[in-house]
Amino acid sequence: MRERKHVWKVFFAWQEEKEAAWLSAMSASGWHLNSVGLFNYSFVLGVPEDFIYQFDFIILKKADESEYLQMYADAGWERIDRIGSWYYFRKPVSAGGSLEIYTGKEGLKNKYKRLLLFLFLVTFPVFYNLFVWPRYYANESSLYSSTAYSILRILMFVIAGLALTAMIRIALHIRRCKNNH
Amino acid sequence: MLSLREERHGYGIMKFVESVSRGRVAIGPGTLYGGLKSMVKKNWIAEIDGNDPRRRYYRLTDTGNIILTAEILRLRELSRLGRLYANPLDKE
Repeated sequence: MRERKHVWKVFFAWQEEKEAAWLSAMSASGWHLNSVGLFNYSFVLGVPEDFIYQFDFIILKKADESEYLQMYADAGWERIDRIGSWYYFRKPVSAGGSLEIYTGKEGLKNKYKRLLLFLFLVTFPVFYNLFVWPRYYANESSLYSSTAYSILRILMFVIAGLALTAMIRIALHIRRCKNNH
Repeated sequence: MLSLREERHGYGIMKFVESVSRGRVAIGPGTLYGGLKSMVKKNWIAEIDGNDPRRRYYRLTDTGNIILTAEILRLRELSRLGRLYANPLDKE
């Protein structure tokens, strides 16, 4: 049985490059990514190798996934794991060919657009609850003044803050893709 | 698009692009997948039956053919102008 280890580490959606660099450094020291969970990375020990790690964000129908993964495999990218709509890939630096999964600005721009839309839809209820609901409906509800709700509100502010940061950073990514076109 | 004048799957397109560009251009799989899906949506290419069950095959449609021809003419014109007016090897 090969040696394994788990590492807890937090990367946000706008920290892809940092996350990829960390995974490359792990591989260079022999620890290769084996599976990904929420803030939780599992590695197996092997021969140190220079890998490029890249992530794609895409929502695929089950029927389309095999074609998608086959295309990555054909281009030399190994699928490691998937968490939600994030796909984790790696490729040995020595393999040649393209060292990026997106070689054009258009595809990259679309990836960030998908991510932006997803974040917006998922966090919309939180924003609604924080900024719309109290203003119009809260007076009629005793829930609003309860302690439990105050705690929930703090939590929602943290989530809203993170989501807003992520969305702004991703929007800037999209703009950069346009400018360099 | 040029590569899909004959039926090809994703891998075939990568190989074609690599060979016609003499190894200069390599398309990333993310770009290729997104490009194929968007051209299918625009009806420039269509999915067709092929004999490799793991991959999907595509081919240029009639609309795609017109688009491709127009693009080639545009590039030819640009290239002509480039040769006429902007030879970077000419010294002022």
